[in-house]
Amino acid sequence: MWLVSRTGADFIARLHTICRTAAVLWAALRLMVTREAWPRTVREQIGKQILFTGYEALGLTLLIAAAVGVSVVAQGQVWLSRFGQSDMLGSLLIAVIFREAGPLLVNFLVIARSGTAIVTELATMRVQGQVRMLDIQGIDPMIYLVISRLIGVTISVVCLTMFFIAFSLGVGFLFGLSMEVGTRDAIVFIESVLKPIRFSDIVSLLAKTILPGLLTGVICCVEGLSIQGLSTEVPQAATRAVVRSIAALLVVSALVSLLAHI
Amino acid sequence: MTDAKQTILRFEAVDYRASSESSSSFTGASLALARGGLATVHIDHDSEHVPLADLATGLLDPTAGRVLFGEHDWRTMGPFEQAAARGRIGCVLEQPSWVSSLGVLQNIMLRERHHTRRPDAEIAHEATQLCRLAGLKSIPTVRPDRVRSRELRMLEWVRAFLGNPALVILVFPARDALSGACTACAQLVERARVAGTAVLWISDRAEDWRQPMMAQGDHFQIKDERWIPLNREDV
Repeated sequence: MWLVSRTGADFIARLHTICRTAAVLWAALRLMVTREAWPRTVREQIGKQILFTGYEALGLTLLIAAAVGVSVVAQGQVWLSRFGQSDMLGSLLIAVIFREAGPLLVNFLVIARSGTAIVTELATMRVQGQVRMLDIQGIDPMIYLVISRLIGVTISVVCLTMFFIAFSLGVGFLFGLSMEVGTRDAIVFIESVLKPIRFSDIVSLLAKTILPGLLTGVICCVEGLSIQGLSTEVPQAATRAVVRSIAALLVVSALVSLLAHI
Repeated sequence: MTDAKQTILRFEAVDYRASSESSSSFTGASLALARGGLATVHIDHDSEHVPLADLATGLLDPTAGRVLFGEHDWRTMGPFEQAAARGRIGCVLEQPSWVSSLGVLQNIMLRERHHTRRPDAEIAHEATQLCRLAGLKSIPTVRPDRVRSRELRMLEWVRAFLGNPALVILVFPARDALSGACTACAQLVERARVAGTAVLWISDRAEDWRQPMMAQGDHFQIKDERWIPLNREDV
């Protein structure tokens, strides 16, 4: 009986968390279309967030992209040559990098790098009374802190994913060239990459970047601003935010993949 | 035209019952603060946090009674209206608080930059002028944690008085500030009042009440959870 009630309580608590996060996301999306949400201070915060989450993470993103490009080509070489299908390298790169690995890895990177930073910063601001100070000056934390981070993170995820895909495909081609796998003609390679891309792939890619970007932003902001005022709660909030962001990312990615293939 | 007698802040029979032990409760608070007016609230040195600033800015709702800003009850205002109204209030809170990711100058300019379209140079110029009136040479551009706490306290006054706000709430403004700070703060208050700013000064220091300008204000005391109006000669 104890186990049943405990399981029920856990389920209700999780449901409550999901509802609260969804409510904040909905409120933020509604606020975004109002004029009051775009004063210069908020626009600057968005710029700073893109600088931190997007620009400063570009080097690491490209490094991972190169590693993924090389790995996929190396694996592809083994398997495609076994079946005499070396010309399908472009299609393989698209299937692995464009549809799955690109958005997933970039989102992981953003959660690990910026998600933790956002939740820690907001939680510390809350502990130190900075959020109250903003509120008392009529600077709505929902606009100044939450919306700016949601938009900044989402734009960064979309842009980083584009860079990731382009760079890993480029590195994959060059590595294939050096390993004498696939075509040697860059134009043919680009054609073979672009040909299998369908409209649903583009929609799926946008969904796999925009939705997890929004969810990561909102989860980290909610966890950061939800602490009650003790500094010991900050690392706990960071852990919760990362776990929940990853869970949301995996669920969204799986659902979008499923819908894209129906 | 702005009505010279317009009431900026009004407490109507306000009771506040604290939900935690870290703040104080009180009953029967009534005050009316007109443009350019001054009201002082005396608080016992050992009392817990009195959330008058939170009530006056509508961040907290009173348990009973009404708090009006510019003749509008905070509870009847929408969120955007509330934010805009708070943008016309300058505050020095009991605990110094600065946005740690911004420099001191950016912090000081934040409220004006958020709520108005005034050019940055104009806001910065006004801030520098206020800074000199407060007895400081210049406004640091470094992060707040690199500035001495005493200096930071005085820079909070600059932040509060910047942009000719309708109301300034000073909670223990001279606490932890440099020596002679009270006089400098009083000068800022005088200047702001001439421009029409209403000032609510909350303090537990006898030194604050000895300022000559205090004779012009209305005085109140919170003692044993009761709101007591004081005669000027009792102060």
